[in-house]
Amino acid sequence: MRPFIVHVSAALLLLVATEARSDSSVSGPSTAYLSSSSVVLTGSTTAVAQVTIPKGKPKRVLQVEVQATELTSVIQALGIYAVVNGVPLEPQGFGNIQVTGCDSTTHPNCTFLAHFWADLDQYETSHPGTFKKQPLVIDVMSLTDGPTATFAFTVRARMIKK
Amino acid sequence: MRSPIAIATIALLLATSGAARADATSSGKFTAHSTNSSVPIGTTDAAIGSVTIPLGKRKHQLQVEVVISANIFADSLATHVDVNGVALQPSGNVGRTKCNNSYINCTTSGIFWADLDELEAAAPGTFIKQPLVITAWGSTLTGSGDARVTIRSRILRK
Repeated sequence: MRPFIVHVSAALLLLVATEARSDSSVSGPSTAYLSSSSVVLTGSTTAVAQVTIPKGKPKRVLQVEVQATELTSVIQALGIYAVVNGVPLEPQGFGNIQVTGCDSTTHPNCTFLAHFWADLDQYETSHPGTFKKQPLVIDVMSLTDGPTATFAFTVRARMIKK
Repeated sequence: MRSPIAIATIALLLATSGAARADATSSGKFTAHSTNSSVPIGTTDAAIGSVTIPLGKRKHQLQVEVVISANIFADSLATHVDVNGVALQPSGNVGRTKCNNSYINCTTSGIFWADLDELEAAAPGTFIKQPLVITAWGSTLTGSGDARVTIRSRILRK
């Protein structure tokens, strides 16, 4: 038997989670942030967010964080990966994806925070003309273990001096 | 009972998990990043990666993020970080997560920080104008195997 306070806490979480909010985004010369609250995943790989930093610069590293929170309560696993101008960000390998397990049968609102990075000088060397003085379009992809679920996503991208 | 699409999705995750690649590193005056694949990780707390920022500076903070994706069936992953042998905040195995044994590639991440002035005051001559050797540590609760370890570090003005 689950304690009453657990039920109350879970209900509060679900109440907060179902409060719809509009997307918001902000960007500048070196940063781009975005939050969206009604992203639906159905199991297949889905583009869930895109932010753009206007111009890639030399001697910079790109750092990206993606946070996903399930607003439903059905998934068992969640994967996230990100690309910049079509090239996967680090960490690559393992299919370039970061995966976490969730237990929707006991805990709603599975949340996962993934970290990514790219050395823009190295990326420009391997893909000339693609990053330096070019817009940096960062696409975030996600997938689950199958059931249709709704998520809130937050993306933070910033370009910093090495 | 999982649906066929769920099984197919997980099969895809498992299939893509084997894509090996070379390690990646990047460093500059203010940052040091690395991603290393095939890093052994097990139940004994051990160093799993290291990066170096050339020179510690006064009035700066050190920020570090560590991500471990373990290509194993582990019940739990944990990480912590030190700089020049001194633990960053928060200390202990705080970047800890419970893993679902049904899925490999369990991922945990942790964020860590240190005030370089405070560290220098406690251990003079160790941090300011010295290389900052940042070491990530990791362990599992059960199981062992290979992990992919990412370290992102930077110093920034307070």
